[in-house]
Amino acid sequence: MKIDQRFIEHFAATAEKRRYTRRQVVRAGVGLGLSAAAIGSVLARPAFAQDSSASPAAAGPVLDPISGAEMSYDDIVAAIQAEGEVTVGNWTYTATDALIERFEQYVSDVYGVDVTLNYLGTQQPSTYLTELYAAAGAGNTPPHDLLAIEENYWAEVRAQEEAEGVTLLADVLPSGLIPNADRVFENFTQFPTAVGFQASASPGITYNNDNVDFLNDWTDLADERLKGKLLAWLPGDITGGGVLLGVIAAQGGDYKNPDDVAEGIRFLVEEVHPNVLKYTTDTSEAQQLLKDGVVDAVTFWNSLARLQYLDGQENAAFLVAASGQYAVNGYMFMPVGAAHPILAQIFMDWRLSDDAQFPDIEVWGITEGNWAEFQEGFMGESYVDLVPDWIKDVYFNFFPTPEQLSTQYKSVDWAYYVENASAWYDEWLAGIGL
Amino acid sequence: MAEVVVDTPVPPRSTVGDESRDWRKALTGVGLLAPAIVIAIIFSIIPLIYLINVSLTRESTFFFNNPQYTFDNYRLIWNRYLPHVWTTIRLATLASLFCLIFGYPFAYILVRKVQYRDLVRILMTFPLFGPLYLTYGIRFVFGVNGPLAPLFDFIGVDSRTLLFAYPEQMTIFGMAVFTFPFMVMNVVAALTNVDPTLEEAARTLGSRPWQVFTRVLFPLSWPGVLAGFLICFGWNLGVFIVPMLLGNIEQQRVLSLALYQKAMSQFDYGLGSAMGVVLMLLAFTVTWLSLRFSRGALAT
Repeated sequence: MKIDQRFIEHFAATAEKRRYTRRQVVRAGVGLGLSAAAIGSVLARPAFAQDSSASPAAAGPVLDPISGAEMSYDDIVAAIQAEGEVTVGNWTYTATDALIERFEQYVSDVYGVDVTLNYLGTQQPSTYLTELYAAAGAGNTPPHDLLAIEENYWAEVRAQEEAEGVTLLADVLPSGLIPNADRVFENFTQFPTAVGFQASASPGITYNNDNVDFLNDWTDLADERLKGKLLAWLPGDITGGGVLLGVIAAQGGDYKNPDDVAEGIRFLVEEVHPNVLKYTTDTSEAQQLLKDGVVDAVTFWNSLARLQYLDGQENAAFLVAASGQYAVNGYMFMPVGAAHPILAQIFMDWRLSDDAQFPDIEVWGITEGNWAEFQEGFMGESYVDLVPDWIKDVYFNFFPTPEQLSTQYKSVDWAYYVENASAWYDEWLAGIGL
Repeated sequence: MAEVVVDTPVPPRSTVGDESRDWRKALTGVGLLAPAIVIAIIFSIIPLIYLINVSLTRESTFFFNNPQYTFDNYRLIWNRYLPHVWTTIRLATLASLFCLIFGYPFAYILVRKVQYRDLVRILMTFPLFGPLYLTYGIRFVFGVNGPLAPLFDFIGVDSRTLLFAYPEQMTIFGMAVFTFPFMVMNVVAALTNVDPTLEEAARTLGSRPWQVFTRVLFPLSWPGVLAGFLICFGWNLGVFIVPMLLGNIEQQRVLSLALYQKAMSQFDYGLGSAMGVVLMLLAFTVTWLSLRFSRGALAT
């Protein structure tokens, strides 16, 4: 009996140390063969009790900018109960069970309500906008409560609003329900409609540094040593757009100057295209061909290098181009008329929390590779100390420092980009025969 | 005595019951057709009109605020995307022919020789689970470090570059595998109706096997062949994931892929819709031509 109690104590201490959720405690307890009473005694500990103090409304009512109402903790609980679910549109690779479970547990822990997170993933976020426009055009409720996709799509919606004289995005920031938005560097915010949840996402060049030692800037993609060894992203979306912007900058040009853009496209068509083994829109193909050594360089996102590295390919490296990188971060924005606005705001706040920005791989039950997909740089000063020990030594090989973020990562005038990108892609695609 | 012929008046035949029966017949016919007509209008005719309407607008959105009607999208397809149309037709035709060449013997064996044909039919429908799974499967099988890699290396084909060395063949193969069941099922249906004694009679009269095939079997199974070819062609006109994943520039130059990019990535719904209309016209044209040249074979 005494041994049993010691075992339970040990289990409880471990669970506390690893910040287990209540659900994880139950699951682990059952797995260890503990009795219901023993599991209940662990759950009764303060560390696993419902923690309403984590709610933004713990100290008093907070403003919900959607309804314009001051909401107390009880009001929020009632609203969550009424909503019951929330639908978020994001990318395929982050739409994981771990994230869903973690958020649902968070709501359960803080508000004592079981909710459902419908977390959708796609590799073509533009489809979300088509669905949003179709719903708005038909006067229907938007299909997503929240979109968490690249900033250029946010700009696209804003441009659509202006062109059509309609309101598509809700003015949700600042919000009393999203206090974590205050922790974010100002250059990662687009108040009142959007806030970033990534700091260093950037289309770029991932390469095999065993075979390639001559890459320094975007224009080196034309080096003949890459002939047949370059996998390029198919022009037509922001991944290819980032490459074009990078090439123009590397040539000393300005993407707002049509002549410079034309020269950048000419360079990509005449100088880089002959090196391309294939154009793809498939991440897994990029990963496979780079890992198997079929190609030496891939134009994709910066995350690919760390994914490959954590997947065992130690020669995978990301080129921070000498002329700089264009940041294309993920932003969260809420369509106007969303069916579940309170839960959407709670999700936004949670996504900017320590737990979701720097997940504990043991608590979340994810691999290091999954972690590398969730994490995308420092959103603000208050996150800097959260880098976990297991990656501390190599973290800055794959992620920029806050200083690099401000010096080497350039921002894009998205309104200008959205207005012109389609014509750029057309010219580029026609040039390569597509 | 003169015979008196009494012209017995025949009471006028009431037509009330006939008219009622006719109405009932007519109403029954309309009533039976009504669900199909309603479904066709809602899910086919209205979307089609909508598609054509959007295709005639420039840079339109779903909001349709002040749409500008123009033929520019069609002009653009003519001036810029004609190679895409030809590539689409070429790949769809070759893949459908591939299906026919391999599907016909397969169907024949299935009908005449195979004992467990129902089981084979069930297995054969696996590709219908979807071109996406199928394409990834093909890429895995023929890809770097795939299960066939040792075999290819053994026969001197570099398995690391196989997919990139033969993109046209791989794309056609991928498209054909997906539509193969359509061809086989149609040819099987046609061959099942061909009396085997006709083949025996032809052989008895001295026909060689190829003569039996060209003079008896193929003409009699022509409706099934045509139906199978049309279905394969129609499917292959619209498939884009296969050329995207297995093809290179030459194969990626298909209208369906351009449509997806224009409409879904760049939000040019007008041009995307125009491409959709062109694809549909292609399918209609081929169907119409085939019916015309087959002299209504499908109706027989």
